[in-house]
Amino acid sequence: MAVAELSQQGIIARKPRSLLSDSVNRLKKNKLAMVSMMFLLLMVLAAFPFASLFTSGDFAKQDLMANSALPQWVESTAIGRVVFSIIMPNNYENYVRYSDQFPLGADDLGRDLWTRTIYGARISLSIAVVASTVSLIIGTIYGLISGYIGGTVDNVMMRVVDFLYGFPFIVVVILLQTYFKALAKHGAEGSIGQVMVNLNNAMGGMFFLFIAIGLINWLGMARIARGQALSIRKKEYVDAAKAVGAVDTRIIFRHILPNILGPLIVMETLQIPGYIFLEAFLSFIGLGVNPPTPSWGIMISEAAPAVRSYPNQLLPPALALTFTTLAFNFLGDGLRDAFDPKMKE
Amino acid sequence: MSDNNKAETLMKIKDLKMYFPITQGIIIQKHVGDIKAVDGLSFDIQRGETLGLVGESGCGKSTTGRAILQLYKPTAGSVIFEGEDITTIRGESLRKMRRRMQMIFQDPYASLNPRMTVGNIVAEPLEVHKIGGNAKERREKVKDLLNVVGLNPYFINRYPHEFSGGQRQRIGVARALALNPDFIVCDEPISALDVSIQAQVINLLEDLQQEFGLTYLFIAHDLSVVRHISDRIAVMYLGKIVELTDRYTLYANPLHPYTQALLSAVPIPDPVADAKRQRVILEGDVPSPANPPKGCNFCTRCPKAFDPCFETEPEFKEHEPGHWAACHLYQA
Amino acid sequence: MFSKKTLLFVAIFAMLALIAAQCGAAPTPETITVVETVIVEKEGETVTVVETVEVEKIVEKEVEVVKTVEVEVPAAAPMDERVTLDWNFSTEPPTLDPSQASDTTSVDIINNLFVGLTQFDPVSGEVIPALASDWSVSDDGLEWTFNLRQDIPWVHYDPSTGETSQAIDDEGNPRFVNANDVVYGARRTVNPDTASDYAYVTYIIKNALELNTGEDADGNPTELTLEDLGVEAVDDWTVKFTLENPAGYFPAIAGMWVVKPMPEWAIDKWNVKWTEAGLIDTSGPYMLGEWIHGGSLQMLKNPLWVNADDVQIEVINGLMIVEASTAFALYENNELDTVEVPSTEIDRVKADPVLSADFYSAPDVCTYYYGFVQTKPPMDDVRVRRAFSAAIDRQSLIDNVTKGGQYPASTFAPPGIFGAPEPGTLGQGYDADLAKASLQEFLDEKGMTIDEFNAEYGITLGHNTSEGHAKIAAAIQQMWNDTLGTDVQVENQEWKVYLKSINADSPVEDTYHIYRLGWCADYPDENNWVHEVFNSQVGSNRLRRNCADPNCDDTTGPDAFDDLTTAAGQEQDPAKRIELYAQAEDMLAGEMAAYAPIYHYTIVRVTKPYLTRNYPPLGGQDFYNWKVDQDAKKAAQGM
Repeated sequence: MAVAELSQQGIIARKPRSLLSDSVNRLKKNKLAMVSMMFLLLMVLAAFPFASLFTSGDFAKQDLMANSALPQWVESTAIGRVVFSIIMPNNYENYVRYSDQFPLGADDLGRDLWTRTIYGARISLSIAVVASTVSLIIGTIYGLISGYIGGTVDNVMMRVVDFLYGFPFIVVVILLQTYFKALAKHGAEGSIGQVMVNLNNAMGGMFFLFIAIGLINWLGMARIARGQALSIRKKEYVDAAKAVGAVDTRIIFRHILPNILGPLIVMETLQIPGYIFLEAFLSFIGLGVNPPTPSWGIMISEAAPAVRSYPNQLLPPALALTFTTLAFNFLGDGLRDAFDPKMKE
Repeated sequence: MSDNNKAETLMKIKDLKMYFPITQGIIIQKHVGDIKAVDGLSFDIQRGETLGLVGESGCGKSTTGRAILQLYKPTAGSVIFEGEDITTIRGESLRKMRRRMQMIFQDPYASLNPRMTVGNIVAEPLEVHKIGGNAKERREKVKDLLNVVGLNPYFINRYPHEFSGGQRQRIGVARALALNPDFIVCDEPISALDVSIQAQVINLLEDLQQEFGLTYLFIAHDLSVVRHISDRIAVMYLGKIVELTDRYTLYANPLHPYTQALLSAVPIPDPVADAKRQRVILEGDVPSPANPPKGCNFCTRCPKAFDPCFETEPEFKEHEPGHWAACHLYQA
Repeated sequence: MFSKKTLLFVAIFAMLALIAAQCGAAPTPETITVVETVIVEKEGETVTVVETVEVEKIVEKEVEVVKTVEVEVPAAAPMDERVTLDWNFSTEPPTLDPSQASDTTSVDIINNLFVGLTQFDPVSGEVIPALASDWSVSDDGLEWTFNLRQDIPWVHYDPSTGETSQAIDDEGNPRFVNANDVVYGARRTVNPDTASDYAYVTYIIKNALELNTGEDADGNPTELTLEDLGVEAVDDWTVKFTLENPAGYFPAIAGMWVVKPMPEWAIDKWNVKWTEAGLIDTSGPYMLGEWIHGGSLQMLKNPLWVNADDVQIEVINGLMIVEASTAFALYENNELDTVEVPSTEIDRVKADPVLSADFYSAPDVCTYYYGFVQTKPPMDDVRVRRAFSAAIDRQSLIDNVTKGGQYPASTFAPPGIFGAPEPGTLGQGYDADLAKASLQEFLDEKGMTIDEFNAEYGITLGHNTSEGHAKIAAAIQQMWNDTLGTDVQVENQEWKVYLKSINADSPVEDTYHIYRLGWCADYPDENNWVHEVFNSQVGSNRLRRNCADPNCDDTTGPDAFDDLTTAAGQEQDPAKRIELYAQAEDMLAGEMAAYAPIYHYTIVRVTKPYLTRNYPPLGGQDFYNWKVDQDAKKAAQGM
């Protein structure tokens, strides 16, 4: 007893540390991850509550007379001229027009690129949150059940996943999007289809995109969740819980879920850039959000044809997309390092 | 140990079998064989005693413990606890029965959920069975339990990774004690601990047995520890008990050649005597439990094997009062 | 986006490399076997003495041997040394079957593969002889007789061997394009089994309407057979057309692709596959070389063409790049010789000293319009349609979006078409006040707010996938929003799918409220415009006018507009015709607001200085008249 007491003295002064708080502490030390998190936080604030404060607030407003205009500061400041002489074609001063309405210039329909980029973040960030949440919830529940029950149930459930995995991913998303859009035309008044279509239109086409991306991406998550559940359910603390008489739901939610959630969230964070790119890609090929709702993918697809005359129009959405996906990647890496027990000092 | 004579049987295990199926096929799984981890065990456990269960790794000791506690559903046989066969009960009544029987696990690092505080871990049995009053009362009870196992109740909010191995094992003990069980399976509770800590835990278990009148099934591969703590000892080989007797008889007069070999490997704290001792070195490996040999399980490695050993399985018989063995050498 | 472009480049390079590799392997010099050109007259025909002798000789020869003569065809140079035009078709041609074609890409190719009775002069746009050396019309204006040239061979090119040969009939005689081929082609187009989208341009021919629809004037199943169609081969080299009504523009129709001579034997043999490379028999100045579906289509000069010496360009490498901006990038990189200028590049092209010299702009006989599907509420109400039409600020769209100096349209046919009204005088142009008032009247009557209107109808605007159409749609969507407060969804589909969903026979739920289309002249007469496009009894009736049901399975018969265009087509007095067409144009775009005319096209192209080309207003691209300075081209490409 005395020995035990002594060894306890060392830790008695410390506050209790859960694994979570340990991980958070490690994350705080990762500068890149913290900067990324700040960036994303700012982005969320800028895109959602404060978007109308420092933009014109109307992303669809066209000033056709000012189509493809460069911002006034390019002409009036030396640095503007220097920067744009690098970006733009040689003789750009001969054909561009300037306008002081737009901080970053206007697109080819005279819409404010700055406003559209900020509002475009709504799509990308919503995709990041909703698609990953949908896929996390479906995937985790499916994988948990499969892995915990095991045996024939596991076998059948995983073959279903394998089967779905066999479909080419992009094709399935395109099919789903096309199907949803067809629903718009066939849905009877007041039917579920019609309600969904109305919701989709109200959200500028985002709703079906969420469903399509979320419905497909849970597969990978289900596999990981199942693998984790399989390994956790063999742990002795699960046996201990069974020995004290805990029921299955308690074991799943108190013992298995908390222990697999960390890795799953990390995995999901690392997938977010993929979702953002997928949205951009789908919008680029015309299966994403409905115009004039801006998304970075649509903006890029609109600016790409003009890239030889107005490369400046491509930069705001492209840079926003790049930095956001990078930030999610860095954050995901940081989370993985922080939550991976093997990295523990 | 004064009341040994009363010898009330707490638990009666009859012909307990635990087979794990071997399957083939990806979608349609075909049953192609069994791993016979436990293959027909019969023994009694008396109230208040400590029954030691020894054997090599993989001989089915831990499986036996788990099968008795119904953590695995036994393939065949019965476990009669106070007159009731607990292999046949399920659901809620089984859950109730679990209050009477607990387990202390081998690996104190794996047996505590790293995402739960000590308080929650120890309180879990109380929560599951909805006993111990409200949350506050439960907390007091948990603190008491921590005190009992020699931990500072101040640590109630800490997480398992903040403790040493010995301390963690104490937490495991506290959890097992929370429901006031009659019977505890100690599954190699000290083999993962430093030698210096082992004695503390053994002493704690002994103290608790006296204090609460517990019955232990003490599983170990270390004969010297088992000899220290056990009243009776059962020796297992390849899913079967080969010898069962009280600890003095076992060490003084081992009947089964396997027991003899095991005992000859235990070091004795006298270098001179140790050097003079005749060692029985076993040849070969333990056969696969999926495909045990015909006749006596031990015949492939037994230095004294003779014809019947390869033909028929020896009967597990009482050769002397309280001394059981399964060996053809003593069948006649 | 970068990866997409890169992929495209890689694909193109791979394709070019493939073509080059295969050309390099072609055997040179080529000797091509052709059958000696012999003409066997039918027995009992009256011929002069001199000719009789010849015929006897020929018959003699024929009895002894069906003689084949090795003819030395000028050896084709290796592919990379031949005079080459690099062209962008912009899309996979939907068909190369003259009976089936209805789009400019297909027609551009078909016009160079198949000879027609007549053709348009590339400069003046007048109808000039082609297969027909001359023609005459009867006094009542109903019978047209065409005399054919006798020296235009049917040729067959095999891309796997690079061999050109003349087609041979069952008796071993070489085939020349004759009157029977013309009759076969016309009957095939009219035959309802062919399901030609463009059959209606033949309706001027006697009995064509009845044969094509399968119903007589009273709606009973027709008793006519294809032999009753008003076209006959008087002899092998004379074709006579009989018309329903007199039509001075008929020689133009006689040159159109749907009545081109077609190779009956090849079509019988190969069925729908007869237009594939290696199977097709052609009669024009070019032959079909390699055709990689969706990737490229190559055309080769026909060495047996009558005027082969005048055809300078030997190889046409046609790509199928949909994005005008990508094609333009290839042009700047000297990989295409002439391309359309995307609207986003026009400012820079005009400011650039080199590109501005390549720039060419001229009016084109095409019109861009939005059609309103009139069985799909609220487009069944003229006030809504008028509001949507009047709210489009056409001039602003042209100045700031399309930028090609197009002309704002208020009616359908563009200037240069016989009977076309002066733009801006009739129909419906931009009028914001009228638009607002018109929609408000509708809303007041329904007791709706504009938000309820948007929610109730969910108006959709469809266009085929293209960056240009998307941009125009976005601009107009916003004009409607600014002026009317409507919330229109813009959707796009790939061309073939799009055509299906806007067709009159697609379910009304599948179609858009508003669809985009353009129309280009087939021949320079109003009949080709308001009548053939919008007459609900004649054209494809995508507007779904006079429909008995939303899916337009049946029409309720002609209305005043239909009667007007029909009457105008039959009218002989030019001044009266012009007057009737003016009324029809004004009624359709103005009074009925059945569609929204947006602008009349201009040709906006850049062309490399080493390519000498013309810009024919009608009849598609005539590559055989173009010239490429191959040395200058190689120099520009740095080869």
